[in-house]
Amino acid sequence: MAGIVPDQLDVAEISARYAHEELLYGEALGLWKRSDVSSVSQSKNGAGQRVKVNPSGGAISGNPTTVAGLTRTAEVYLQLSGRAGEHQVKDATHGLAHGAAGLCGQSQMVIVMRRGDA
Amino acid sequence: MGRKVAIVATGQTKHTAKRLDVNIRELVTEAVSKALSDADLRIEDIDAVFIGNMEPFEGFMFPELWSVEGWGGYLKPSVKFNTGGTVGTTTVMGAYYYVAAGLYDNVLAIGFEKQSEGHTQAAITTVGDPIWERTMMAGAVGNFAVMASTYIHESGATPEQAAKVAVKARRNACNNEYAHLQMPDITVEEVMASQVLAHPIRKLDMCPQSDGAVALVISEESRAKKLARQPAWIRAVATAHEQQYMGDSPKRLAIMRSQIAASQKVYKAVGITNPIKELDVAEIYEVATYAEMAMYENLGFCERGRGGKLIDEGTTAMDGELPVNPSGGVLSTNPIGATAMIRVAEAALQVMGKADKRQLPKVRTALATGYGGNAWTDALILGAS
Repeated sequence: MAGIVPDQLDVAEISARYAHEELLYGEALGLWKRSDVSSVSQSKNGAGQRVKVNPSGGAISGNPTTVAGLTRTAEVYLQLSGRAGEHQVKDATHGLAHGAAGLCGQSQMVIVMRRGDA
Repeated sequence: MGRKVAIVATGQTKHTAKRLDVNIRELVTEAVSKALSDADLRIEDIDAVFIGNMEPFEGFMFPELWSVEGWGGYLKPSVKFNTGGTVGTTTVMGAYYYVAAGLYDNVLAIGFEKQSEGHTQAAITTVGDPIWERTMMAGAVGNFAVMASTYIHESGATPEQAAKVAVKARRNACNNEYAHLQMPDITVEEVMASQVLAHPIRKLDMCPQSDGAVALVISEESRAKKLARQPAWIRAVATAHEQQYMGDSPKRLAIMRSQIAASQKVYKAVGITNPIKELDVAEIYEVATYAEMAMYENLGFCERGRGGKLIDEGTTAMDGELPVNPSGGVLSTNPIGATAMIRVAEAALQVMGKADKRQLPKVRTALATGYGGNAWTDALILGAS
């Protein structure tokens, strides 16, 4: 729909409320392969991956439940507009915000955003 | 305003107090299957699904998640709505916005409630201010008793006029195969002698609690013209909220500012200046008899204080100048998450000429409303063109 591939993403804010969800959802979102999960899980912000995942700390660091998806969206907006302060991803132009609901993540939403001048 | 959008098909369950023979998934499937077959569509033809429900009334979370096969949302874009009494109209408005914006061409809007599985009145009681309101306005009846008292004080409406509203609703319901309460022999005396629930509301002044579901197919212009002989075009939609706290304005419950704001907005959008003359039918969200009379005034059907006169003069009867709720209304059928969408479905059926025994002659313009708490209103105008 947005005409981009996951490799173009600079930042992804994933609604992961449990540690395993970030690995699971990142794979489903095409950010990494299952075979890479082990290295992704041992790295900081998915080192070795171009995309930085949850520089805000994500839902696992603060989770007013029904707000989590909107917070992810706001965080990607802050990243793309260069206003993310100390957790700014340098020169971020493409971002992905993700929301999930259901105890097993039955409902999923994805928003892809691009900086206006990118 | 975006693309032209119309309702092309409707489906309803037979509404009743307890549907013990089906679960939620099966209940919703009934309405969805009827709506799809009404338009000769299959679920594969639907781009997105908009679903309305008030889960506090079932008493458990996310009934739409595990009933997804029943409403056809599997791997489709879908949005859930949860806005109290207005949930059905808000769901239609959400679907309308997406189609008007050009994102989807054919969508489903669904409303459902299976109140027999939960405790609606316990949930409604939590709407009130915990210190000042909850103890004296428990449940819907308590809230609308205060509303009715205020309205009587402001307008001089009588219990007899209220009873006439109840009689109109339950007799109209006899022409509606889907209605919950069908009472062909109901009399004014019977209503006035029914049990007092909370003064001045008597049992027959109040809506029932129902299990039921409704579904609409909503399409953009070119598809709508192919799918329906006479589509019901969505000509205008509006929503308005005011503060919920009842203590701030003693007249607030009789003078429903959100009803005035939302209705005036849709009237203006389609150029209506005299609704009683220019509307052909109204399906309104009247939770209690007194509320219907107050709504006549707030929707601009008459001058302030004349709501009871409209009932006395038969203006809103089936053969009156502006028939209100030919379906029997909320007073006859109330599966809350579906109720406001049933207003839209019934208004659409009238425009489409498919309202069966309750069909009015030549309906060109119809009003449908939703009402939530005592504080917010949705209004829609449907038209034949």
